[in-house]
Amino acid sequence: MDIVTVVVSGLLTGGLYATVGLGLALVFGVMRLVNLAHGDLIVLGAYASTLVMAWLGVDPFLSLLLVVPAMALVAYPVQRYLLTGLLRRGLEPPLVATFGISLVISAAITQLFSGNARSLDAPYASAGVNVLGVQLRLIDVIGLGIGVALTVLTALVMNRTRWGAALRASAADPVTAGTMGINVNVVYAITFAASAAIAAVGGVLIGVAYSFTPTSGTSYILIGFTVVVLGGTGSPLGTLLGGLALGLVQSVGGALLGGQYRDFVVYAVFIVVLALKPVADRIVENRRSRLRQPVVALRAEGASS
Amino acid sequence: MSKKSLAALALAVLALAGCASGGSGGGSGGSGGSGAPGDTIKIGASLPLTGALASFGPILQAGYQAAVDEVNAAGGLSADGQSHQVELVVLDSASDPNKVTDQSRTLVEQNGAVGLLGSISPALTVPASTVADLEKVPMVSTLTPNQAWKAGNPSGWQYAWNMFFDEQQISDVSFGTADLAQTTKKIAIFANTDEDGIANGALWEDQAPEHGYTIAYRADFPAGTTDFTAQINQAKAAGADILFGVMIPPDAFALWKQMKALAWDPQVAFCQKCNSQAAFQGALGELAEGASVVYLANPSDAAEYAQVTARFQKEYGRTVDATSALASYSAAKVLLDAIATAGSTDADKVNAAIGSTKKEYPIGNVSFTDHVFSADVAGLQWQGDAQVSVFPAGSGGTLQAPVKGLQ
Amino acid sequence: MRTLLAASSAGSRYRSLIALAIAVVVLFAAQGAFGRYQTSVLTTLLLYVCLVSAWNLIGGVAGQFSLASSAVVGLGSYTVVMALRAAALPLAVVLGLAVVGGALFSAILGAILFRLRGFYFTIGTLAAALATMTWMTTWDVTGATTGISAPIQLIPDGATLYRWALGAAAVAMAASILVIHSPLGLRLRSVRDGEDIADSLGISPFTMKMAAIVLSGALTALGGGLFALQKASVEPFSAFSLNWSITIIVMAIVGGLGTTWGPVVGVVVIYYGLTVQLQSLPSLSALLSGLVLVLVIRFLPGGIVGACRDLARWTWGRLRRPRPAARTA
Repeated sequence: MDIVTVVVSGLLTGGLYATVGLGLALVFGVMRLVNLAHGDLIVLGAYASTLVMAWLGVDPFLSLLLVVPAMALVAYPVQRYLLTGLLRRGLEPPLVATFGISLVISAAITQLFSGNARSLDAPYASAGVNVLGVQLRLIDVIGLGIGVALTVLTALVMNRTRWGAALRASAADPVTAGTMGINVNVVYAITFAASAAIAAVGGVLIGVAYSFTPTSGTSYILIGFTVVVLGGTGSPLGTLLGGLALGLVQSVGGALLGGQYRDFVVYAVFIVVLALKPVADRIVENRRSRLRQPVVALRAEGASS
Repeated sequence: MSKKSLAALALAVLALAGCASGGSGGGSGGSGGSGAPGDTIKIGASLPLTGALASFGPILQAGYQAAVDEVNAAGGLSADGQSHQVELVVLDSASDPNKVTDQSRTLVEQNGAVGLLGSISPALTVPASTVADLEKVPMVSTLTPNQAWKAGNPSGWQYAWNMFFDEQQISDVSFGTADLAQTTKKIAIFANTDEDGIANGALWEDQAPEHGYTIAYRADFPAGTTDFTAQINQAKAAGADILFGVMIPPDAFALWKQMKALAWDPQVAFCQKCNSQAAFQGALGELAEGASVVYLANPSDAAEYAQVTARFQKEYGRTVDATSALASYSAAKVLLDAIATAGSTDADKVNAAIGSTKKEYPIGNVSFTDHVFSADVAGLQWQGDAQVSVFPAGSGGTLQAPVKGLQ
Repeated sequence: MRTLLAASSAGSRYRSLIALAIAVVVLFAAQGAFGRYQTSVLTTLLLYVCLVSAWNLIGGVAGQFSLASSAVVGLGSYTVVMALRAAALPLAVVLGLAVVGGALFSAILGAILFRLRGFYFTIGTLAAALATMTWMTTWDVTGATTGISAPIQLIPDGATLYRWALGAAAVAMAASILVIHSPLGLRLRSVRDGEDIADSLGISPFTMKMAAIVLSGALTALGGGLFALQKASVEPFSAFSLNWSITIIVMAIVGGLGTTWGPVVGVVVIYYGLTVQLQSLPSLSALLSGLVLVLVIRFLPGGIVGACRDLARWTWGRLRRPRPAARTA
């Protein structure tokens, strides 16, 4: 068993996982919305791409120029007029609503496209590259590149633009943000639209690298959530690291336990991470409070003298 | 408040209306059985028109419908002293075994089907066969490997019959075809964890030595796996230049693309269940060239089937899709001929008639032993637009090695 | 105050139980009038009522949104089939085994996952459901992907199965009624509405949630076992399919989460109203189910039962409101 191959293949898959998780992390981080329809949005992006490719005969990634705006345009009103209102009512209503949307999307795709497995055809889909003596798939490298690029782009937008500031403000405290003149509803809607756009990119990536059916969405949802849980929702970089970590763990786990346990490894990782999360959070919190203590002590000293 | 209540009222009324109409519909169709004289004879099938196996559903339906149309054109079936037209009722199972059970029951109990026709793969056919035995209605199926189908009922099927080949034949022909090429005799097995995968994988591994082959590498993976990078690299490292694979089409598309990208080009590449259709070539284009599969041998030359053979070969090309359509046509014909022979739609009479079938159909010279018929198989290879029979030698084409599409 | 509350819930408890008893007697007696097809449809409907009432206890009353029902349904199915294959035990024993298995499995699941709250719990149950299915596809003891089948001669006929289904639905509904109109139900709802506050009031959330999930698991496995008898053979992809969880949840929400009769209404609307009517168009029926779910959650958060209750209250309110006095000239 070649360690290098296993590690490299894990990291490359991880790039794709990062893309899958990024949209989820964005939406969950900003508005605490659990989007169970995310996997289906990914698959919808892939199918939309097949339509554009059939219509215009373009390369799958070029078709994104049409697919991404289309998906964003469709997603915007869904958040604006349906999900945002439900967010106020607690945790379950939006969850259930996205559940329903997921059912609708996968049933609609099945009805329109039949259940045949499909693949997006492109010359580089089956091209290989030789990097440092290891034969890699070109599309896997592209996938990692796209994952990194999207993460960097998201991080830049969130931290360096005014728009990003509005986003972070709405995430931290929507009520106060509202009083500061930020239209939180619009912010939420645009976030969801961005998440759908990222999903579309992920869909095309999956379509070119692998294949998809109307019901492939379910497997990607769990991967996405595992990435979110692993990487946290604090920063896009965390999502990237989470995705890479998951890809690595899955690859190593599959190599050690046998190929048929590849999926099982993902679920096990998820449950383990969830089980350990409260413990991990407490450790982090303790460390943070210990860092704060000297400052408090100094202040108290300063006040008393 | 009033907006909500109006919506509630509307929804409640809708629900009640739905139940009422459904109730009356269900009630009128309540009686099963053969019905009054002059009625049509109904046979039913729960087929995967959508879902994972959706590429096979329409082919099965086309084959079954062709047989029904032919019988109707010739004047229908004579049963209980009267001539009846035959009607094929098809329900979409969405490739879900749970739905197959429900729909098979519906076909018998609500639509009054006196015979059932099977689906594809043990996962979808065994539930229907189970309902056939529970409801005591004869059923003929195909496109389901014999061994796996028989395993679905350890105490033996009573009313269900299957005509296809079994895994042992697949093993024999795979090795036979591999013999036609110059190879290092090292095989890489890529088997998914479905029952077909397990059954075929086990046989290949057991029987490799006696054919003079070694299994250099074996990969097991669940259906729905899309990333084969690690496995392909390991197969390469092990020096294998023959691929024996069993997996569902989506996984095969991924595997083929990845084999090309990672520059593993075997001399012979077999993929059971996965490249047995035009969809494979449709999705992969040139990559599909040279891929092989073990499938039903080319259809019989009997004159009475020349027309339907020509029709399907025109519609599906010279591919296994045409052969599959002819196999389903044969299954429906066996059932309909049995009803005609029995002269009645009584389940036990028809069942006995199926059991004593001895006739030639496109799928072969059919007669049942232990409720199965083992059809002849051949090794087929994608060459251009057709799947050409390359094994047994002299059956039409010659094997092209190495696999062109992956070069 | 508490006595007053208890009295009124005791009152409605008895009313509901009497209504249930009447319904059961009617359905039992009317069996002869149903054709074979209607008996099959009703059997499936009753089994869904059992499953949905069971989920309603953990998802609706206790507020723990679990997606792991499919795992328990599969467990019940496999237990029944394996028990029948191993020894031709009477049905009651075999179903009892399924019930025990379901309760145990749910207890373990709860023990692992109840430290998680809200969405994390839900996704944790999703992972558990998918992990269970993946495990079953590789476990040779249960036939891996091939699955196992029960000897056909041990399978009860349609009429017998209908009676068993009726019994299961009755038990599940009775359990539901008893729990909802009882102090236990009150405590479960308090855990649902505010877990930390309930904790501070001396109600142990963990114990309450465990009680709910164990009871729910037992009933779900019962339904799953009876479903297996409809099929005679089981394999992992259909027995453990996530579709079970999805269908159950859609029915529960459309009917009315946390209500007594919500499950029945939800099953009738979704199963009878959509699935059966659109037998030949399963993807259309799935699409409509999703649409109904979104519409219900948006406009009728209490489900159909909740909406009917609101409608009744509004109508009653309008009727009792004194008419404004006519203006004198």
